[in-house]
Amino acid sequence: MTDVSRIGNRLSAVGVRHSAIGSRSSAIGDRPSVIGVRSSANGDRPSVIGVRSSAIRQAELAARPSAVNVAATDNLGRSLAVLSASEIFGPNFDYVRMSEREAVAATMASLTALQSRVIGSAHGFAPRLAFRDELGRANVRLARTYDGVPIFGSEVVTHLGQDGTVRDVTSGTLPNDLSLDTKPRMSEDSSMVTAVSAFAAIPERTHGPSLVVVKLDDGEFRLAHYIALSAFADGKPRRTHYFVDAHSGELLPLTFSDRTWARHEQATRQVSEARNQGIAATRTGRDVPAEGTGNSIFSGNVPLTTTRDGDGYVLRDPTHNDAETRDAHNGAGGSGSRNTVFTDNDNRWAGPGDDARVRDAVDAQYAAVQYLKYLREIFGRNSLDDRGKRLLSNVHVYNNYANAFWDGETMNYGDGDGGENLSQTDSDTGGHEATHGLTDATSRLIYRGESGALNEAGSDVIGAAGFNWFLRGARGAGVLRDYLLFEDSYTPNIPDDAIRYMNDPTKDKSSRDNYRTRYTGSADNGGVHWNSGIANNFFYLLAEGGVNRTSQARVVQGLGMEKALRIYYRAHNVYFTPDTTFQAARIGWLKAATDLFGVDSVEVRTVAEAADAVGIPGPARPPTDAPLFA
Amino acid sequence: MASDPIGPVRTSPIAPHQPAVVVDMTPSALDGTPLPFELPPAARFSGPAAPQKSALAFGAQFRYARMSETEAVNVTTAALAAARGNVASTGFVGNAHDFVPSQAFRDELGRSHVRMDRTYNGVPIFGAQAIAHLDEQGRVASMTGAAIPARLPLDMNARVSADAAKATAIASLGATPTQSGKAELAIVQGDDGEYRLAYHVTATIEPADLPPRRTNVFVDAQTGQVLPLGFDEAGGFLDEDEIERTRTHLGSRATTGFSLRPQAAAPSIPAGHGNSIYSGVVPLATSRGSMNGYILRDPASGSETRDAGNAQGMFGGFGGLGGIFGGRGNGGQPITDTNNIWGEAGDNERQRAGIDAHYSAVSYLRYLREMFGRNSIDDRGARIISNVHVRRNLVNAYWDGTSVNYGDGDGRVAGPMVDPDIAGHEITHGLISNTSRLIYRGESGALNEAGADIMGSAGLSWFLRGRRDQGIATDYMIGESAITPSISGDALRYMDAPSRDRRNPTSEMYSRDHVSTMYRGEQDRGGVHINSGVPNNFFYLLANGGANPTSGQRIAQGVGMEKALRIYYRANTVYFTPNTTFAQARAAWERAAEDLYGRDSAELRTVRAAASAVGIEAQTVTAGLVS
Repeated sequence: MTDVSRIGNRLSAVGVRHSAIGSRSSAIGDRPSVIGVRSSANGDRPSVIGVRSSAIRQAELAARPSAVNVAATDNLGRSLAVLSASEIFGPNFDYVRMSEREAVAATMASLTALQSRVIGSAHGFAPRLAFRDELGRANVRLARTYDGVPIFGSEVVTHLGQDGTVRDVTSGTLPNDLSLDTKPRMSEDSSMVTAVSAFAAIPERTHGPSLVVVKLDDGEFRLAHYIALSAFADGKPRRTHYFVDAHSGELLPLTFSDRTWARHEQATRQVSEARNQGIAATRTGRDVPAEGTGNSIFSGNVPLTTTRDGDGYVLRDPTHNDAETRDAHNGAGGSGSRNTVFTDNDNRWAGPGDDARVRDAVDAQYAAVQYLKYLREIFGRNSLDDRGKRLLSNVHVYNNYANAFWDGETMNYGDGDGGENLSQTDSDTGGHEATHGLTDATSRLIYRGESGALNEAGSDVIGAAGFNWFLRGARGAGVLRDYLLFEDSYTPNIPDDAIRYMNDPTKDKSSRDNYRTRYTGSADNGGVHWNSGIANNFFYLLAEGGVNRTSQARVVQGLGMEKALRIYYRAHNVYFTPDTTFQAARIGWLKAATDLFGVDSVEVRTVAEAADAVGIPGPARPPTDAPLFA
Repeated sequence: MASDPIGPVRTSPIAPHQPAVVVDMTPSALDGTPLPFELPPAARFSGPAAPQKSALAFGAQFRYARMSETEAVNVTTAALAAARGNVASTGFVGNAHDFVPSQAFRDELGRSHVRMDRTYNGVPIFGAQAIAHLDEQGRVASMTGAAIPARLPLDMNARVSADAAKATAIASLGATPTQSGKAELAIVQGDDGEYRLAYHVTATIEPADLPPRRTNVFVDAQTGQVLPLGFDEAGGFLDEDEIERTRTHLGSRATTGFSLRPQAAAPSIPAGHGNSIYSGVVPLATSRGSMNGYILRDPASGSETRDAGNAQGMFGGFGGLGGIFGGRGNGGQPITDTNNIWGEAGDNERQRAGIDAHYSAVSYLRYLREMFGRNSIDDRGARIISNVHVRRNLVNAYWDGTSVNYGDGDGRVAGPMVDPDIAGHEITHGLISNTSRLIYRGESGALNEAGADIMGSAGLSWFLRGRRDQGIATDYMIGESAITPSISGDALRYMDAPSRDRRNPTSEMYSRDHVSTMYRGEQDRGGVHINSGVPNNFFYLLANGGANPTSGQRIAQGVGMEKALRIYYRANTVYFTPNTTFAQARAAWERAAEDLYGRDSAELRTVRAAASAVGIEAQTVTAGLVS
């Protein structure tokens, strides 16, 4: 075992031996975790650098010569070899927009920097994602662990400089000593029974149980089995997350359910039949003369790049990662084999004589392709995961389903209930739901409490407001429609009527617009659709300026949509973690604005003003230190 | 003792990265002819230890007994071809129906048979089997198996995931299992006759004061709902209702409780013998222990009896699961004696239950060998591990899948649960799980219970008395020694008059003796201990003659215990499938009698008369495996 001195050309002089990474017993104890290098003098047997949770694992890795893929040398100039990133950091580790070698170097540097700050404690880190951001900088997301057990939602993001060293860290704070026995006393089956009993429906899919450390709302930490159950019940898909205390067996009050509806049932307004006149006319297709066009419900005639297949065409865009739209035949959608891709004989989609079912597909496909263009042109991002993920959309999901959802892999649109909710394939819905997929690939904001509100706001800001602006040609400011959410598919004949209002969140009678008046109850997963108004209004004030209704504080001059979007996106992508709070979000926005426009810029000042206006307290400039421990 | 085909792996001639030429090089093999089937590719390079040919061909679940591996491969290949041909011959196009061989064996008449589990689109049809019966030339002469619709109207795409189905199943148990298996897809036939795609989940529940339960739950793969087809496997000699009925029977009768008769003085017991609780002085097959003295281990079979120490929890739990017993005899403590004279005055009284259990287990093996030519329950020489003093005052005994476990009783409802009736019954559950694997629910479950009463309790009692037919009623009484020791002349079950166990006139829970009065409810897994009275009485009439209490039909002359046992054993071993019904059982009994005694025999006529007397009538049998 020799010390690491060089790995690739970015990391030097790490000089770590038997140090803890995600350790169960750091530095001392019976199960030492290791950063180490094995070198071989004779050179014929490949050596490995292993970063793994136990020395036993090291030996196991050493016996697998085929794993070698990156060459390196140690401080004596001897030939070393590095394992694949996933073999070093585990199968959950991923990296985007950088080479594997860079990912290993950045992650090793991050671990080294972090590890020195937790020596002597049971805290550790499990790398999850190394990525290069839109400014070309490397960042690494690492889950925090305690005695080797992941702390649910607790994450550190390291931000590396051009020299490959960690220049900044984003992290929440945790107590140094959680006083927690990490050996579960309840069996997994027992916890599963508790979760299933609470679910009150027959589960169709399950996740877990997996062992986690969770923080209760009162700040106490517990060892828990994390279980997610999903089902189609009461006419809608549902997924609920449970935490069962792994010592006492009690169900912890941390339960939350996924967004499976774009519009929360906050709008219970009466809508007369008369207001819906004209929907049928909207659905009646006009002649579509051009090849490669579609007659959409919400966007008129739209260009569609499709794929030729024999004598006809299929609704798949080869120029946009093969984005494809399928007919779910009123089934569950998803990736199921019962969904069939739409076809057309003349490439004039939803033209005369075409099946009416095609029409929704035109909107869905148009929204998906435009969303991909939007990510690329505004943020330089290659699809949701920044690695060209294929966008699959299903339309006609379930029967009269007035909703749409991202299921983790695919977009799914219902047909609407024929009442106030029209077909769900409008671009606001598409952009909002697809952005949940973006969030899954980046910050993974937990869909409960403040982080859940930020998750929702991210979808509203990036997926609806920004996307709407992009669809208008990415021009101009002050267009109210950009800040109305789902205005097209919701009561389409009432002008400027929407589900949510970013310019004035309280107009919907449920949403909050100020941190001081935030909802703190347990309904709606802790108000994820209501408190999102706080971040939504922050964004509106940042982009357009204006007054927060509750505080009456004014932001005199907005930055315009493009700058505001880039700030928001960068914070969401680089600085938010699964458990980010509003106050942490303020720091993230400030950091993002600083990265983009400089610390003394008017943009940073406007971020602070807008955050002040919506009542989120915090500094005027990003802090220089992020302590790991409280 | 035949070698275990999956057991210690032979040094393989197949080295990694060499083409696998699967030709047995021994002279007794297939003369160098390549096997007439495709090998699964994954099995070709499975490392230095190649599985044997039969496992490569038919899967790891495949077992064979009383034949060479080459013969097993040959007969099974022929059986598969015949079964597939049978499906094709019905004009059914397509290969949705298929067969997975589970067992090839030679019977006590020297004939070969192959059991095959049935599948549809690759998913097992739970409990459905086809059995191919081969003639001396190795050709399939006939086939046992029910006809299944050629096309099952099933959506084969499960909507519910396996993990979710398992979660639902576990949540339905009402207790947290100590062990649970993966949910496996299966096609199940409901009591309404409909086939459904379901997940089959098995779980083990180990209450501190009851026998452990190994339970089966079926979850509809489309709706996610628990189907009313679940059942506990044979888990205890007494079910809870029987204990309750016995308590009722006992009433407020004052009892002094069970007490051991005093141990005799040394000179009255010869060496290698013991003073048992229920059977007097009995011979014991013992071995020298590692320390000074002797232990209760039969040197011939390896069967051993141990003291579980009345421990709760894992002690007395399922053998194969906790690794405490596991059929390896390493749980509990050996029972020792210094002079090989067991149960004499001054010996530890804890020996006594062990003497009975050991005597029963070793005698049972002798019974199987001498009566049926069978080498232990699997016909491959499996040893029997017996554990006594399981849990505390447990009024039960149970087969756990690998070993037989006996409670001490409470002294009131029951004395120590080690009498040969109970031992024979429980070990016979092990025999059944190695042969027909009758599903422990509904009619097949009642046949499982009856098989244990008939081949285990009645047969073993008769055998231990020297195989003499004297119309002795106790042969046809089950559990008469240990149950209610304060009341003489009573028993748990009565094969001659099954409804004698009715203690409460308002309760439905009593044994039936005729199809017309069968219990059709859901309790007792669909009445496995209640409807077992029907085949029990059939057997009594067959062996002893007499009248059925319900129909009044009389069998003037029985065929005697020996012939009746041989008929019953053969039907169970050769012709019963896991889902055999009473009507199918009659066909099996008839075939067994015909095989043994001829088409025009009095024995076959008596089988028919006895079956009719209990209301089991002949069923028209369809020729094909699909309809």
